Amino acid sequence: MSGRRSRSRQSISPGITDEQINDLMAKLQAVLPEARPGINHRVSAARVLQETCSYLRSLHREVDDLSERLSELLAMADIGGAEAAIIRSLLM
Amino acid sequence: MAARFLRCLSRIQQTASSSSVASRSRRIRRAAYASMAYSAGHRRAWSRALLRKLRCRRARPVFLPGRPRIARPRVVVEIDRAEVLRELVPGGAGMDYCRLLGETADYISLSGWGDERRKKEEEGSVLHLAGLVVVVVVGPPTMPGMVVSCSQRLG
Repeated sequence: MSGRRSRSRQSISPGITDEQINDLMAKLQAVLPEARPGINHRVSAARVLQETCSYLRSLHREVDDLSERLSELLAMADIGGAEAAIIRSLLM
Repeated sequence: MAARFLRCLSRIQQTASSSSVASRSRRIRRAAYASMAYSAGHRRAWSRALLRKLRCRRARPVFLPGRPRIARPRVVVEIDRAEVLRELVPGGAGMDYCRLLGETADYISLSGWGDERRKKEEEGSVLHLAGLVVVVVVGPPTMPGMVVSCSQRLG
């Protein structure tokens, strides 16, 4: 990233360095779906933000869809002790 | 997070005969975000913002991520993506840029599919959790992609 400032940088306090921004960007990039460990992509900040926004929108949609799905399932199936125990044992 | 979410689901199920699919769906969604928010607690700005929204019960529906909003016509001269991001992350409005980046990464790690960080703490994300409930209740292979990613995450 060059020293060019974009509008979104105007709310940064003067003490923050470019390196800190790059570090935060890298951490954000690492949780995005296209992140591949070990490969250091030089992606622009704008691109990371864009992908983050579209990823967040898709996550929110997925939560909506899964909630609907679960809502239908709860009417038909039972999350009784057995199922809850299975889920707990898989996750905890 | 899993225990809380399962308890909520169980409670919601008890009203299954008297509630509509839509209202249950809204409550499940709310339970999902609540589980996420309680899991992160007060450590994070996004979770504090979610908890505030969840606790503030008003006559009109609480705005949670993903609810469809009426689009306002905008003359877009320049897209400031950080501003867009601020609207998508709970508590994002008013955050400075650095804070926003850090909060977003944390929020995604708790809600999304990529969970390298959460793996260490042995907790899944909310999507993993909800997906897992679906898989266990319905039985595989209803949603093959989810089974693959769940087993990848567990394996």
